[in-house]
Formats: sequence, structure tokens, C-alpha cells
Amino acid sequence: MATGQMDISRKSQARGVKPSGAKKKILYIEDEHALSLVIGNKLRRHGFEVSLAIDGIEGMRKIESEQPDLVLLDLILPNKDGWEVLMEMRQKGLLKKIPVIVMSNLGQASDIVRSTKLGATDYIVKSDFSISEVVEKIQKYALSGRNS
Amino acid sequence: MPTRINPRTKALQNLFAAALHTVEDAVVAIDPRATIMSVNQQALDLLNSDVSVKRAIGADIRKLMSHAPSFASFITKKCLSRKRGISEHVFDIDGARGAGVVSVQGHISPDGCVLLFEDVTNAGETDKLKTEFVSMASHQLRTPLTAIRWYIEELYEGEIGALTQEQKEYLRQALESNIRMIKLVKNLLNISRLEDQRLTVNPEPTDMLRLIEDVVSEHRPLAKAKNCEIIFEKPGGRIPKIRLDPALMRQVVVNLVSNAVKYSTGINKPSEVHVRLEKRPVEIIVSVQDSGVGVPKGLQHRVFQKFFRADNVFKMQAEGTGLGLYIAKLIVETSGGRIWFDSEENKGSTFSFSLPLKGSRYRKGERTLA
Repeated sequence: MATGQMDISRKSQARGVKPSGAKKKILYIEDEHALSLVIGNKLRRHGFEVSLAIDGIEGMRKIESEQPDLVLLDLILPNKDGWEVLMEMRQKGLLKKIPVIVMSNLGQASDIVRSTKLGATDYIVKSDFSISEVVEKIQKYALSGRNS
Repeated sequence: MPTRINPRTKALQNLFAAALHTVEDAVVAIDPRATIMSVNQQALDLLNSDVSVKRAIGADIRKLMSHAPSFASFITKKCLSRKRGISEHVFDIDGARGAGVVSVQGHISPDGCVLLFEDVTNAGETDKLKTEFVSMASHQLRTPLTAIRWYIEELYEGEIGALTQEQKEYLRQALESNIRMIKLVKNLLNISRLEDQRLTVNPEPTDMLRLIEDVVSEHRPLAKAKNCEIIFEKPGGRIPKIRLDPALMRQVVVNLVSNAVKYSTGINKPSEVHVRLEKRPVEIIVSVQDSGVGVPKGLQHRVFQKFFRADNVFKMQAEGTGLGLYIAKLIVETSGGRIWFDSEENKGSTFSFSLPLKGSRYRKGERTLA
């Protein structure tokens, strides 16, 4: 019986799948390899397709070429920071289609307000959340995504 | 007829001069006509004066300080009144040893005035650098701490493969230390902002009853697990909304309630935490009473100090950073209130704070709580 329950929970984890059967795609823009690796692997196990970018320039390029279902965005990034990415997405009308979750360790109210004003859907202070909580949030937004 | 000085008075004068020589502060004593009665070398150095102590005594301080006109007028207008009181002034000096900013405090009395000088040339700059450093350091610390946290969690949850009970226990210990360090970094950052008065206080009409209710209900499940009941004794009358910074107030209530639960004894013995809110003529009082371990008498004077943790708490192995009450005190005092406590070892503690009904004053800082 215990194994039966396990099967159900494993199945319910594989929810990163669109009604069409295709996997939902998440782009994580993060310069800290350790963080993108652990989150990326966990999301893949949960059935998502994951793409990574290490700075704002690569991130912006992948947003346009890959059209992900959800973007996870760090703020302090080399070359082009997270706020610039948000601004560019807004200018190009991409924010209407793709929700963005800011994942930063800047915990200032001003940083949060600035990001949400620029159009971010949610703001996660990374060190305040367990990885399971982070993935739950990601699932929530990816599955209720604006183009799902 | 020349006045004869009493030998005892002469001895006192000498001792006073010797005392001035030994202190670190820059001190000058003047009579009500601005004549220097006593001065130490520290003061002459700070004020960029090349005159010796011997020659300075008997001179008019305004003449000696002719290179600082605003100081001279401060002496004339504020320090010669003979009325007891303290007057302060900050002025620029530009002397042989370069330009600087000096702050002076005049302690005025019928016999004259004692002036205490302080070099504040670099004060603001140093504070700013310190805050920037702490801010940057804590942000930089958080990233690796987050990575450690997430990797341990993945291992602990068995996402990477099944673990033995002992392996899980080791990881749980590592995770607890990691989370404690994350809290510590966050608290240090907040303290640095509070201490430097750079924290924004943004008062808005706040319903303290509601705020306390929220905090209490958030803490109930965790308390229940420790066999502890949190009881909120609501006030009889209505509590008006008060202009307070709700985020700051929340932090204070959270710190007191979580402490009360944490230090309520044993997992097996049921315990109660009572939270009260009362309205007085000009203030409200919030108090949190526990029946926990209490603070030993000999250590009570250190309770609000930074990093203080009592011996009996160490023995309980209760986790904590020793910063919660210090932060609570900083916030309450910044908000215009007072904080105090009453405690007996093995009986329990009651921590209380007051807040003025007129509310807190707005303060524009550059930072909010992390």
C-alpha cells in the first residue's frame, strides 16, 4: 500500500506537461552555477524542460529564441542585470506572454517594489525558501501560465 | 590687596589639571567671560592650536579660535549665560593641520562652561562605509548559504537516493546550522541598519490587535507541537489604529512570541504563553508572558545586549542568535516606545513594550528590514 501511494505522488509530480503533451519550458537566468544546477535538475525531475542562461544578455537572447513558458530571473547579473532584462521584456511586449519570477537575495522592500513595478509576477528571496517551496511556486506559475 | 588663594583650592586646581591630562576627551573650561581656566593638550591638538597649555590659560577662547568665527559666536551667544544647560554646535576648522569638522558640547553653569570637543570629520563617512560593507557582505554570504541549503535539502529528502537514518540525522544537523546562519546574516544586516539610523520608519494607521492576532495564529501550530498553548487576552475596550510601521511592529511581536514559545519548558510538560494588549492614557502596552526557564537574576542586566544568551538557555540547546531582543529594543525605541521585562528563573518571564498612542515619527532612511 505504501508503494501504491508512492506511485501516485511520483505521477502527480510529473505535472510540467502541457495539455498538448509537450513539456513546459522554464528558463532560469542565474550566474551562480550551484543554484541553477540544483534547481534545474529538480525541475527536470518534475517533468519540466529547463534552459539556463548565465547573464542578462544570454537570458534575453534565449527569452526571444526559445519563448519559454516561465522565466526565473536573478537580479545581480553580469553584463545586463535583472532589472534591465525586465525593462527590455516590457518594451518588447514579452511580459504579457511570459510570467517572470524574480529570484534574488536582495531582500529590501525597495528591490521588491521596483521589480514588481517593472512587471515581475512574484519575488522570491532565495535564502528564505526551501527548495521544495521554490519549486512549488514555480509549478504554480508555470501551470497557470499566461500562454497555457 | 592681592587675594590669597586658599592652599586647598590651589591643590584642587592642580588635581583638576592632572585629571584633564589623563582623559582622552578634548576638554576646555572657561569662566563666564570666556577666559580659559583649564585646558588639556588633547583640546589644543584637536583645535589646531600651536599655543602651549600654559599660554592658553588666561586667554579668551574666542581670540585663540579666531580662525573659526562660528565657534566664537557660539561661545558668546550660548555659553556665557550662566544658566545651567547643555548647548551643542558643529563647526569647520581650517588650521595648520588641515581642514576638519569639530563638534562641541558646552556644559554651562553659573561658574562658567566646560567644553567637550570631538573630531567628527570622518564620522559620517565611516558609518556609511560600515553599512555598505555589512550590506554587501551579507548579500554575498547569502548566495553560498542558499546553495548549501538547497543541496542539503535535496539529499535529506531522498531526491538523490535513499539514505540511512544516521545519514539523514547528520544532514538534518547540517541543515539546522545552515538555516541558523542564514538568520544570523539577516539579523546582522538589520542591526547594522537600525544602529546607523538608516532604517526607514514608515508609519501608517496600524491595527495592533489584528497584527498581534495574526502573529499569534501563525505561531500556534508550532507551539502546539511543543505542547504549548498561546492565549491572546484581548483588551476590553477598543484599541484605536495607531500610526506605526507595521513591518517593524510585526518583527517585535514575532521576536517576543517566538522567544516565549521557545523558552517554555519541556516537550512533555504542557505550557501556556499569554499575550496581552492594554490601552493606557497615552500609550498601549503589549506583554508576552511565559512560564518558561526565565532569566537568572545575575544575568538580567544583559538581556537586551547584542549576542547575549543566558547559560540556562545554552543548556536547553534552544537555537537562537542572541539578537532577537536586541533588535526588538532597537525597533521599539526607534518607534518612540519603551521595552522592559520581569523574570524569575524556572518560573518564567514577561516581556512588555509600550508604544505612544500618538504614533511613531516618520523617518526617511535608505533601508528597510531585510
